Amino acid sequence: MGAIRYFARKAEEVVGLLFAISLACGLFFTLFGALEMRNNTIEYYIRTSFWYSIMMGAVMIFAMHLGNEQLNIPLSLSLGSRRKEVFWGIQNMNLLVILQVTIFLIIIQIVFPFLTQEIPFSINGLLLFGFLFLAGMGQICSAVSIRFGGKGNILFIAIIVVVVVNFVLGILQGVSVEENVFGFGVKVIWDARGLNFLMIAGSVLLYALSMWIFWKVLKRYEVRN
Amino acid sequence: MSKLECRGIGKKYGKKEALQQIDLTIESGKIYGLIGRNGAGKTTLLSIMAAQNPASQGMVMLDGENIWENQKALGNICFSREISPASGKNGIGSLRIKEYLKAAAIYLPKWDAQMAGHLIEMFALNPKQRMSKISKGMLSMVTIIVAMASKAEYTFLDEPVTGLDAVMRERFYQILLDEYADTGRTFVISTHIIEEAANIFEEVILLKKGCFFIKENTQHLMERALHISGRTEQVGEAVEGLVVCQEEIMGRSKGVTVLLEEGQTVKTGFEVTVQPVSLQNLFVALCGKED
Repeated sequence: MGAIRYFARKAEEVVGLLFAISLACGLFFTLFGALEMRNNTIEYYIRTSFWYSIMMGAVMIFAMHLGNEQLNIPLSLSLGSRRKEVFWGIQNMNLLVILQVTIFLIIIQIVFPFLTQEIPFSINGLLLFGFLFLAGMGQICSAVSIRFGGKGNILFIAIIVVVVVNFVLGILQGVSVEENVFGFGVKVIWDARGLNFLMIAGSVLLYALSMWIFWKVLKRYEVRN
Repeated sequence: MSKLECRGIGKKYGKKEALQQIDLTIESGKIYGLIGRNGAGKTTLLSIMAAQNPASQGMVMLDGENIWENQKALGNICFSREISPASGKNGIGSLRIKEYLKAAAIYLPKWDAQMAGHLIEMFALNPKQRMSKISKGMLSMVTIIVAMASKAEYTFLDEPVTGLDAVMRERFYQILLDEYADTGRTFVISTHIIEEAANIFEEVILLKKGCFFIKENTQHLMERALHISGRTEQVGEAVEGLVVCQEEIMGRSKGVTVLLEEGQTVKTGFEVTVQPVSLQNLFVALCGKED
């Protein structure tokens, strides 16, 4: 059970870090942000931090696999953990981070209803599957990096760029922005309901595929100094 | 009595064979010295014996059970790896000492936190320091702490005295002997500082080019090894029929290192000098000609 405990602790660190960064970014943009929004500073701060929480959530859920590949996997195996345990520890970590970020976003929207003017409440479900998609991508990249070493890291970075671009393009396919304001005061409307099923099924399938690839690589993982 | 067995262990990295057909039994309650030249396969063997890395062929058994992915068996084995200073800013080097020990406490089921704390004090380590910022000797201290506080029945240490000064090396040997006396744990220690550790090893395991070469009681091995020197022809006749490991010729004189087989002796009646050989010199005699 060591790996489950270890990776659960890592999940708490990731969640803590991503919200700390989001709050710090929110503060920064509130202090130096658009002048016209200054009349309601607290609301602006909450809106900004909320948007950053979504973005940082997406980034961290993907990038935490780099930390797993470089530190947590070799450390766990060198301290006597089984590969199977490490594998399930990482799946547990993914689940914990995704659920905690999504639940936090839902709670924050309930506490501050004005946030639902920006992003419809129903999108939270899709956000969860979006995070699952990114966790799956992170897991695949981590497997590629373990398998191909330095070349894998280049691929890792290339995939990050492709994923981020596609994530943004995908979102833009499904949403329309009502207010033509560049910044974080925009109103987002999800008007591509036909994409919902595709997005959910795609995310689940990709995550399942990533689990399979990751296990194949982890099974033959070599611990080095 | 509990025992750890390697059965036909082989390891390949691409086309290179790092280990070939290793059959080895580690009996509980002994301190083993694992020696061999750089690249002989010591670390590879230890990592396979601890199921940290998979073998290309063969298996490792603890009391008749395959240890691969076996939680019960792995709970009794700890391989405290040498931590390289080049382990990177993002790797283990990014951790503080206390974070590394906290991870060890999570994974090692018999972790003795009190002992770990005591050793940190003894080695005067600052637990808040990052592993990438400490010296090679301090990294060795951290690996020693993990090995000792793991309380694992079978504990393997890879080059534990690398970078330690003479005082600290003595302290380590004392800690090891105290722990051994108190608990009867089994230790397998790979080292290049053979002479110092020779008195501690109950048995010596010698690897040569990835092959298992010798596993023998240290005292018995030392009794079998002799250095015979004198005039070339006299030495030649005195050692006739014996296994000569190494020869050195200086003008008309000659020195040879022999390893006596059961019942063999050096022939008497020749003007030769017979001297015991240190473990280090025997190691050089056995492995020095690999190049």
